[in-house]
Amino acid sequence: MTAEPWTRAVETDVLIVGGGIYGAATAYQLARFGVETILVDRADPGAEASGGNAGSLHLQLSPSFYAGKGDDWLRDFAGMLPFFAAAVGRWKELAGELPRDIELSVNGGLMVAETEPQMRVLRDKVAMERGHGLDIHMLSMSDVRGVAPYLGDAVIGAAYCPGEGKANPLNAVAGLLEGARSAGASVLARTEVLGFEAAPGGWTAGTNRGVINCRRIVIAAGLWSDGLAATVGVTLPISHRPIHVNVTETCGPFAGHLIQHAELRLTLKQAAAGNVIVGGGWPAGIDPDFARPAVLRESVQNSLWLAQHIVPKVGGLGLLRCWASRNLYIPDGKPVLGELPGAAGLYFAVCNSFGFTLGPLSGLLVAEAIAGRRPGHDLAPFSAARFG
Amino acid sequence: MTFRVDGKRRKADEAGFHFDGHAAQGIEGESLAAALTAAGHQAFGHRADGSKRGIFCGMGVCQECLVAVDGGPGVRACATPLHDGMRIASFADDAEPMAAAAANADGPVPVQRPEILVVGGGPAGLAAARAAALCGADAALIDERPELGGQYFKQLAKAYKVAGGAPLDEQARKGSELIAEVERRGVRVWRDATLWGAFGPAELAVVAGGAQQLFAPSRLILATGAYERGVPVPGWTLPGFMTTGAAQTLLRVYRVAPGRRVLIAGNGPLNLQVAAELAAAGVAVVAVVETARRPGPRQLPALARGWMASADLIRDGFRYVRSLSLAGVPIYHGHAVVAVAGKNGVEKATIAGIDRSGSPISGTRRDFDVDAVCVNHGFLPANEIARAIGCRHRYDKGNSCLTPERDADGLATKPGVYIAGDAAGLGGARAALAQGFIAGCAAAQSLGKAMPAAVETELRASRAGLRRHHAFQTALWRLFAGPRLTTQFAAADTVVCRCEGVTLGQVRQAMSGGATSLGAVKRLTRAGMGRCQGRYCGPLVAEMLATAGAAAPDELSFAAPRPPIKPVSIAAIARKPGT
Repeated sequence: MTAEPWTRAVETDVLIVGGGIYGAATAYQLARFGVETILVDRADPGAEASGGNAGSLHLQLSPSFYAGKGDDWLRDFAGMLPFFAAAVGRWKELAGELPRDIELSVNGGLMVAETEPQMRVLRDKVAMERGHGLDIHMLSMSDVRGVAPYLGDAVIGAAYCPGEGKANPLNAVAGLLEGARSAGASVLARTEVLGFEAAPGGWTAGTNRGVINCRRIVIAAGLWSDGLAATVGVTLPISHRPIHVNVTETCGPFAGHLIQHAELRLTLKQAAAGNVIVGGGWPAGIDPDFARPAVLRESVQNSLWLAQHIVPKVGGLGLLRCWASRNLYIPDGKPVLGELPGAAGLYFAVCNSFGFTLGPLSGLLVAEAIAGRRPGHDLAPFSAARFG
Repeated sequence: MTFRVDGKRRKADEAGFHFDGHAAQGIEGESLAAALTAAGHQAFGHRADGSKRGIFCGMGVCQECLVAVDGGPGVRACATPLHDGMRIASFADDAEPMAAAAANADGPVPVQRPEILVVGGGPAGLAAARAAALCGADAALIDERPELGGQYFKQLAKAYKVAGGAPLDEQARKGSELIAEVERRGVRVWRDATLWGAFGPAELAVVAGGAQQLFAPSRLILATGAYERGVPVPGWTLPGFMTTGAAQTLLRVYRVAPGRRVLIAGNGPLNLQVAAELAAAGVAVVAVVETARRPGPRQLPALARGWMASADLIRDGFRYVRSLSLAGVPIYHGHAVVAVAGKNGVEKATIAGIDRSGSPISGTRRDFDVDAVCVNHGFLPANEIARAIGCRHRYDKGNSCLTPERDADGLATKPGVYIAGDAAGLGGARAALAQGFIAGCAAAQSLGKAMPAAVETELRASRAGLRRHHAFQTALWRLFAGPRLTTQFAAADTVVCRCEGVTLGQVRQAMSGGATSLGAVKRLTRAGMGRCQGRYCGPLVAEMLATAGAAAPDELSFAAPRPPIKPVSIAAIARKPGT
């Protein structure tokens, strides 16, 4: 559907560009702080990475994520662990606040091992993570069977992190936007920012519907944030990879934890509706005809083999759908949050790979900064200025 | 009264089974859907919202007839054969799954490399395979059902030993001859073959007989047919409310009546045909309800054109109408079923007159006591495979469906891919046969095969025939012109997405909350996230969006086609990494 053009320029305090979870969470918080906010999305909000992820709430680090990155990188990234813990805390608060059931459950995560070398990797990881204050410990074969009887015989142990969980990404973005609207924010779909520049009093953005003048602007456009940043001379080294997700038919509840693997690509969880969601970062391709992510056969077959190998009951289910969604990467693994030094009123709310987990807290922090409140976490490590 | 229309007149091996603990007798090899219906069971399971479900499409598309067999996972009753001793349980959406190990998951998947692969064994597919074989091409044909023939050439189940092997009627006989010829000419036929992933024209992932196969043909002919459109009315998820095609399958393939008192409704000649077939088999057909107005003098030109194009089909039509009249079955023109009601299954059907926009006319409602309502409001092409491999489609407003862009040979926009039959746009069985033959010849020629003179002659006749069949279809739909039906009969609490129980009110709420696309409605309501993968609700929601919004639907309005093409067992498709 085409959105109606405006007859004259729209004036507002904060313009948020992008309606994924970062933009939605920022809009929600700003509206609740009483700050006049308009959020625009060039399509339907929540349709891209925020609508295509598997809904995992991560705390513990995943070896398949940091493999090959080196000790220094890992040490630096591990400093984020308390931030992740605070992020899951924010999710719990949101579950009570939002007008929509986001199907949050925090039943813990199990990163399973099949071999002794994998158990050693887990033990080292757990020691390092406990050093950063994460509540996580190792489970022996008999203990892990007691906690998760649905795991297959191949599992010989696991790292158990009680604070991990899951939520429904679609309901979360919808709930944040509904909450933002009822607190007074405007949410405009099919409204694309074509360019923006500094103007007296703030910023002026040209869209497909007309001009928006604002005091502050927030770039929350996920994958497309680098293009927008470039228009004002800011470099954002965002890359992306399409990755694969499987969803099974619905069934009765039998698997309560977020399951991952010590070495191989696997995330597995059962959603509130009963479907089992299997991901883990298996590769996807790009469909040349429609320039959209495309599912690869080997990823379907291999990811499902691993899933039923670790959780045999998955073999008894029907595959209902697969898709490929883009995962975003920033070289140091951290989000881009907060005001750009030297550019008054230009803010970023852009995720790294764990965008879903960190989204609500990130939105809160950026909103606090905009609203003149002291952000609950120091945003300096996340500044866009760190890219030079 | 027995549901088996032939009584004891056909010989077959009996099979004992239990359904939810109740003992019953069926016929070895018939579908569970037929066996359960014949034993008087209509409700095969229930969904999370508590609603009971049974047969709806009867052809493996809707996934509603799921039952659990011998403690295993849910399987489609319409696609699963009965064996002696089976313990069948009604399917619950919230049952815990059973573990199932991935079998034969090691090593590379066997690859089949026919020169020409035909997907679909209905009229178009059979004709294409025959043409390919006549031109000397190495051809293979795959079909997901245990018997070939598709929907039009439904064959009497092999479970029935017919004296002398005689098929039921001309239509079935033609089908059986064509099937026999295709096999005789050396086409490699794979039955019970589910194409679950179409990753490219030469990367087609199939499960056949429980084993994985990969097809890498040089040329691909898609003849995947069509399925019946869903028009929601209050109560339409009740067991006993099914498509006319489902009733026809029960009758022609399994010789089972869908109910004791049956009402047939919708738009188009299939309803007349099935009503006449049921009445001839001794089933009480309480009424036929047709949305088109009774043909009058203004339709005479169309009737004449139809006669010129295919006189025999017009004669068939008259024959059906006459036999219904002789059987005392009333036909209500300009009417539609607007609601059904019942406790565990359909008990009452309400019909009403409809105006030109399809809205019920007040004061015209009447009720019928029934236990089966069979409805056909036209068809939608099964284009998932074609779209998955990137063939471009455009929206056909007249038929409110996507049709593929093709040339006169059926060549689609992907090199080496042809589309023939109802999957290319709804043209009827004769057009399907002609299109299939043309595509088979074109595919063979493109491989450098020489066309024998007889084939050239038949090809010319097929092309000429196509023009006639198109003229017939145009005339036919003039005769049966009726309003486009979508949600006219649905109330706010009427389910629009059958699988997930999403109501019309919930879809409207999502739209007024800002959803402007099928994807957005899906994300907000879960409509389209169920087992039928949006096949029934997707077109309805797309029409609602188009009506509300502005832009006509196009191929991007519809859900991006992705694997699996239909739900498929994970144990059956899993493959060990690194092998």
